Amino acid sequence: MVSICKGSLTKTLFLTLALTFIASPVIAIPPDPDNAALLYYQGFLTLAQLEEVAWDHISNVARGKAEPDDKAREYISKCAGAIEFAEVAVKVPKCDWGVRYSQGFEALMPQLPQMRRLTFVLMVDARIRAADGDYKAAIERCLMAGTFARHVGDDTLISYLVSIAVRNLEYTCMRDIIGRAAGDVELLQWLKNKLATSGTVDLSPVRPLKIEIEIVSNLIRIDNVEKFAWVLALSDEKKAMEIIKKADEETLNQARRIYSERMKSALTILSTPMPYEQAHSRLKQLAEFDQNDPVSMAAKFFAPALDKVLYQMTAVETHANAIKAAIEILMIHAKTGRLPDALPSELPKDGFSGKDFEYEKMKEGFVLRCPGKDSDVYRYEFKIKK
Amino acid sequence: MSTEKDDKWLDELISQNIDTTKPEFDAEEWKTRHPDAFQSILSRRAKPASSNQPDVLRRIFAHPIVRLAAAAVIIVTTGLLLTRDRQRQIGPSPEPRLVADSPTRIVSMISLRTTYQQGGWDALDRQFRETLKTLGPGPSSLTPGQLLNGTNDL
Repeated sequence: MVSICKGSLTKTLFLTLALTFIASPVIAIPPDPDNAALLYYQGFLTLAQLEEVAWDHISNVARGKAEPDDKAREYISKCAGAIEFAEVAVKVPKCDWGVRYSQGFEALMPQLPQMRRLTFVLMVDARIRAADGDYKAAIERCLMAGTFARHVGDDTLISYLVSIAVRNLEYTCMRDIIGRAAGDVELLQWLKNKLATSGTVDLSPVRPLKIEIEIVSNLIRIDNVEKFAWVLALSDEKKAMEIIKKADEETLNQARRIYSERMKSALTILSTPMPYEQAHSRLKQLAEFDQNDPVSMAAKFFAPALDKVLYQMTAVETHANAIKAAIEILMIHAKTGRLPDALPSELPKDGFSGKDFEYEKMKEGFVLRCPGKDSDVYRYEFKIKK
Repeated sequence: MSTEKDDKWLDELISQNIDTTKPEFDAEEWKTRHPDAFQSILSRRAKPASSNQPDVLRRIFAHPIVRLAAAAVIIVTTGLLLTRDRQRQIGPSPEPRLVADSPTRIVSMISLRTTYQQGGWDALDRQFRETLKTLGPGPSSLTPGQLLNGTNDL
């Protein structure tokens, strides 16, 4: 009798425990995504459906070409859902966009244009916050775009270029905001610390280039001649057929050899620290192919414009350095009440020349310029709010 | 929705998108265009068949179970071939063709890369804008009611 009672008691206890385990809310609710890309994708889906004119306005405000007016506020309020998704996504360390590398050059990347649009929205939001006098919140939005740029990543060379573009927008926006917050030493110090911990050189064209080399090396083979011709002819059926007729194993091997040699040299240049001018001219040399030789021209088709990529890479580093240098100048201004007469020593330098920025005081603030460059592209203006 | 209605809709869609006219074989033209193949068929026909073969086949097919099995095989094979043929007509064409014809090709790695090679960042940015005009996602303003509308038919 006792043993029967014991048996049923054990069963009851076991059932109760099992039910408690099954009904536990901790187990029932699955966790949020651990891949930031999934959240950004939802953010893209929740961007407001706006007219083309509205997107143009958003783009102009984001770049600082127009003021954040009521229209911009209305548009951005409609994109609140997308901003919310981005806010959550930047907190997730891992970001995998799910590029189908197996498709080689035919892999689709429809997320890239959406990334650009989301960046504009974030930057307009930052400018609205700055216009309302909340500079810290505005800078936080800029920094958020910085994390987004890192998440955009370097899966492919184009992704890498988009991440640079996102960063550039972040810095342009930040440049306009820090001048307004010129009197706030605490805020400037906070931003200085933040920028010191979030490096700009964490992405590089080396990884995507290595991936591309593998894709191209597999493509320029007689077994893949149809795909090769299709890509080379830019999907023109007639041209592709002509290429298939003319291509043979020997010419393809030759084209692959030329391509591989050039790309290996390019990888060495990009991975070795050297002055910009030197690296740029060497990459430009590598991009020169014999125009009368169809085999060389086939190799040229697959060789990316790495001199252009190097330019973008150096430009964004220079932009970041200009911001860091400007923060030091603004801190002196905040402490002493006036701008220094000359550029303080030991400031971050111009990435193109490796020299100090040229510093010029203006009526409304100051300008940092890359030495020896006249174009406005190399001129960073900081207006100080009186 | 009835199955018949479904089929009608499908047939209309197929006839709109593919050529459903019966293909006509012009034997004379084929003979002049492919003389080698024609000669090869003639020579094959001229070869004497093995004297044992018809006898063996006749004996095998004399059995009713074998006849029944052969009929079943023919029916199943014909059915399979017809289904495959129909699927081929309405299904996607080979991959490269599909990508080339698809508007999504505008965002393929090679397309974006070529644009950047030729026109730099500005050209790439223009292509992004074009993509956003052409492709989705078109953020939807559907209410849950509109979204679920029609599910009762499933």
